[in-house]
Amino acid sequence: MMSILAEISENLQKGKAKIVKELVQKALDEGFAPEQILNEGLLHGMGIVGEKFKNNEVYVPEVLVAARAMSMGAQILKPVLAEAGVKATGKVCIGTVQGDLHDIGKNLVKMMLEGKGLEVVDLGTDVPAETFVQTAIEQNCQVICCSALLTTTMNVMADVVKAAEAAGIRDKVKIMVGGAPVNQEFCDLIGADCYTVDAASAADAAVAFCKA
Amino acid sequence: MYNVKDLEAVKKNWRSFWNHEFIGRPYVLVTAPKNGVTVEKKDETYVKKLNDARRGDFTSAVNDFVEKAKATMHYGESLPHYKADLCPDQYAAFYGAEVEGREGEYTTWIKEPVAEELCDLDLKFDRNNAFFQMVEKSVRTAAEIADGNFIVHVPDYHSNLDTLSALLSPQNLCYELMDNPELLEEKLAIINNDFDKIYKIFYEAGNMKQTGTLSWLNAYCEEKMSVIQCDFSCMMSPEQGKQFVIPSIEKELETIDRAIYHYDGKMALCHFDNIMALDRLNCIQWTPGAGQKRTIYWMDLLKKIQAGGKSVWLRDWTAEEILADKELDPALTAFVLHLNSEDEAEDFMEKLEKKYR
Repeated sequence: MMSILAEISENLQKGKAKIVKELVQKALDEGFAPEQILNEGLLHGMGIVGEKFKNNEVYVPEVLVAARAMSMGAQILKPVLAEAGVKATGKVCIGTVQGDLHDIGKNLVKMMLEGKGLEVVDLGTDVPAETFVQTAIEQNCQVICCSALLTTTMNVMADVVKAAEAAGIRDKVKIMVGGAPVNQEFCDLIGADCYTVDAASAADAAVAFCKA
Repeated sequence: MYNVKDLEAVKKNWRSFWNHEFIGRPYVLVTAPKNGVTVEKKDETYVKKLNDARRGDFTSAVNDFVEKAKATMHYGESLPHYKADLCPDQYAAFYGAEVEGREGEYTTWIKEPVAEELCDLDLKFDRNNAFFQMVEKSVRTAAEIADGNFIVHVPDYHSNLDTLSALLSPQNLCYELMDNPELLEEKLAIINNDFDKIYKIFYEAGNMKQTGTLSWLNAYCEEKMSVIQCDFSCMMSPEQGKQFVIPSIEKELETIDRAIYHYDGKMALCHFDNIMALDRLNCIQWTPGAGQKRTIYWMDLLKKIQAGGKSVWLRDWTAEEILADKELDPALTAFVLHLNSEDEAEDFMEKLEKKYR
């Protein structure tokens, strides 16, 4: 018989949000530690979805419904984890840069980051460079993630790097960039720390930065 | 027709284009500024057109265009054309979405999704919809001013799933795709069925029966033609594409005689075989997407499209690259090119024709 944690992982991968929520509650009622439910149930499932997405075995809609299921399960766990003193792996702020209203890529990365156990401050879309930096300072974020879909807005990412330098936090925060028009060359050109080709890889990179 | 030397010859070449015939060189749509005429640069943005239209001014933008058209020479298969559209996502506005244009920007956008869930979308196309009437008036006014001197575009529709994506947001449409596929099919059918009547209204308003049809890619056809697309397909799996995208395109193809598919983005390539299997699509405009290398670096894909019996539509090659190309089948290739002077354009045309002689 499949363990309840495996069931959580399995149903999360299928995007069955309601079932995941019920199973997380059931696991808590049965005495599983919240951290174990998070790691071996929710994050395990999301990790598999992320890998499949990288390999083109699942597509954006499947990732979104899986992330939604994870979020529902995490809602149940959050107060219990806090009570148990379990802390997030790290803290990241994310947003789509100023002038750009596209958010699906940013949301995908956000969900993947949460799927890796990171705490995420979502700044939304049309975010000025200074807001990224100010948030990183005020909320002690280790990583800033900038997204853009337009070639006309991607240059705001360079402003984020400059603003971080001006605020004196450049050595304390890693700046990640992504989105359709962005590539490694652009990342190097503006002096950002990391570019990844997809959302799952972005989450892996952010975790590595937070653990470093 | 402004600055077109031999309209009948151009039309003959376009008939050949749609029949995939060789005309002695690849198809080229070349423009260049007319010698000795300087035109002040005008605001050609969607934002200006929308603001004008909202003030009831449907002529200023067309008159600006006329000035520019009189100062532009056309070579090869190029014809003067005017885009009367007010928003790339205007099809969504026909179902009630609000359009906004920010000062200083080029494009107008759907302000915000009209619903979060598909079940809350009331999809009734109403010809009295205020935005539809503005676009219709924009097309009609431009056609009246054109008076045979230029052609008004078939509007850019962003129909089928792209309309639903604008109405709901791409993310919510993804959820619906997974949660409510049957309802999605139902709603999509409404939008797809409306395509025919919407196309025909603009066909009449733009006087296209007389002028022929010209798409935003500048392609011309004496019959009914349109550029078809489904940008949202880049999010979807091949199976979802087969279920939702392909039937939508097939439905739109029922209305038109000739079609170019605007194929946007590397992530949409998973649908390639299914799109190529659509016999009634004559031509593919491969658009690698922002941040990707230009189409000349996608030669294998371009050749694969031609091997599958479809033309390729290319807008990002230089004159030198076009003249040097030895790989593409000229009967199945169309290039759009703007050059700096009449001399340059004439020299280019001469070299191109000589190359294939």
